[in-house]
Amino acid sequence: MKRILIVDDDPEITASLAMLLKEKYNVGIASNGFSAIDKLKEADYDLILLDLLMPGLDGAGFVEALNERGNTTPILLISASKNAAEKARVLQATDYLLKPFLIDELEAKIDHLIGS
Amino acid sequence: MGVRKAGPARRKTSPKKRAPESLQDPRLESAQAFLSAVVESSDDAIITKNLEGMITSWNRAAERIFGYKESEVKGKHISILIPAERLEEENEIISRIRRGVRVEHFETVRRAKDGRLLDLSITVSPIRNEHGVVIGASKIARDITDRRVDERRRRFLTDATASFSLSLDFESTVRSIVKVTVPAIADFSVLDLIRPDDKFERVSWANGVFHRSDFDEISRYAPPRFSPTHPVSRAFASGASVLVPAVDAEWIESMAISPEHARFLQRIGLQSVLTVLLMARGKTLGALTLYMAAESGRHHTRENVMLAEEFARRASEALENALLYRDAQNAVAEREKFLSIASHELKTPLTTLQLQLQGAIRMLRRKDPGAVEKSTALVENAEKQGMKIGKLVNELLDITQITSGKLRIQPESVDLSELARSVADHFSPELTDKGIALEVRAPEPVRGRWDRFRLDQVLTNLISNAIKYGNSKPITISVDNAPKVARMVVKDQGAGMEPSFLKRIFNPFEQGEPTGQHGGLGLGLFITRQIVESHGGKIAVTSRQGEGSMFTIELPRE
Repeated sequence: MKRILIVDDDPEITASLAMLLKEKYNVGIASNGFSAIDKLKEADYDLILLDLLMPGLDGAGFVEALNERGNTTPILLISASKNAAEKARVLQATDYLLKPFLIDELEAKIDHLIGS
Repeated sequence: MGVRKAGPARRKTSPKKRAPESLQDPRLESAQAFLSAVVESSDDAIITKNLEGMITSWNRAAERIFGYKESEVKGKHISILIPAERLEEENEIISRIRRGVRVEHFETVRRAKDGRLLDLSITVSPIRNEHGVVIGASKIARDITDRRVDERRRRFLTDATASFSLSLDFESTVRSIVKVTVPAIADFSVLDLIRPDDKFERVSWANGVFHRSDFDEISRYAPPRFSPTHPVSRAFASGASVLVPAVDAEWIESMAISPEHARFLQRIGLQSVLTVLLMARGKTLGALTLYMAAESGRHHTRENVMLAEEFARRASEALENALLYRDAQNAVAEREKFLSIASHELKTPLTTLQLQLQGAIRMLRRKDPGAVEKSTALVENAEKQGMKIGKLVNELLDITQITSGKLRIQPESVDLSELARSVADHFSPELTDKGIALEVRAPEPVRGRWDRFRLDQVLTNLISNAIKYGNSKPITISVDNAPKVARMVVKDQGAGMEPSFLKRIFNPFEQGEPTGQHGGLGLGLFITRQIVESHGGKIAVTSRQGEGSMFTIELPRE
């Protein structure tokens, strides 16, 4: 089973996403950039679903930290920010999805990026 | 000095063609007496000289304009009136006169006895003897210094207005207001604007005589709002311009805001000060102060006041436009920030709501075992998200009402003690769920005429915050009758707030740290304060980190 790390500060969103994705994937959850870095030390992930606006280390800071370490894991930005596309380009994220979104849409993107 | 009109009548009576020594005939003598009278009463200087350039006659106007008595100049060379760099002009004039050619309305500069330079328009005509031979010249000189000054002033005002029209931007407008005054009407100038908190702010300054590093400390000396001596404070108090033609050490001592300010003014050699007010639609926006320094030796005169006031009128217009433009820009930026925060905050619960509904739909479609129970839980949760969205939308509507000044209070008879108990009751399921104790201390009725719905909102807000930030420790609400006011206190024993944050909590879009943890727009306390203040009441907060926060509301009981 492929592994996905969900990084978002809203517990309701991470819980709902985990519930929907865990049928096909092994899911890890982190509530900000710092805890996401810890999670990545514990295990390898095939994909990171990442929110931008978070307390502590935010999405952008997290990606920069990862890029410095030569990250190869694809990153899918999930954000309510209207300039998510621009952020994704600047941060060299693999793709982005605007909140709110349909789970089918998310699954199609995940499938495209890592397969099931 | 008034504006003199050039009249053809006067021109006709200029002495001409006859040298005084040729007048022998008694009839001619009476004609000469008449001419002499005309010459003496002329406003223009009338001077005659021979072909060597020696002055032979000098009328009263010449005495007035040049400052020399006839006796001082008669027989002297005309060059005593000519600035060194213009001596060539005299050779040219004399050579034309020798050829019998007139020089008409030649605008030039001459020097008075006291060294002042005079702007003159001169007409020089040949004087011939009875044989028609040129033996000298008569020179009529008109003082056009006033006209020149008028022209310079007009040009200054036109240039100033043109520079204002270049930009609507606030920064560049205030910069150009001070910049165009130097050196035209000041050696250095400063613009002080009155801020909404009724203090002066030194927004711009310019100088034409000092090195920047010697001058820029002027930015530190914003005038006091009230002072019997500072020209800016005085201009504001009196609503009129303030002119100090000659400054002395005593004056500087009396108006300086600090010893270093006094030293600064002494050092730059302050000579003369003129403050004019900038006003728009009956409101005083600020004051422009024009300084003259020892460097140029100039002093302000009464005439400068009128010119500076005319300039201030034009500057005020430019300034008001720039202020309106800045307000509009700020309002747009504020609205954009608000919309961006609002849409972000609405999308978060909306995302959860959709995910939960989509999950429930999938389970029900697949008829998973236990699908009904699981999806019921999901839909119930989705309903909560819907409530959250509804609450956010209401906050948005409240904020729209507040910012457009339409928050209306509908007073009715309310018992605050009873209201506190009833709002606390609404929270009991959540409190039980989270294991938090809430005590309402409201031993007696506390009545007044207030808006029940809005006060319910205030209490709900404060209790929600106490739950959010209260670390699950007990919360107390006390309601009592204080002298003249009803007092309500909501106290938690949670994390408390940093002093720096405490100052901002009633501002819009502020939220307890860590950001995002609790969702919401950060508008709760802003709305709360607006509601309390619309009732004529007050809200205050005290907080200590690690000990909790206490919000106190006082409402007039009337």
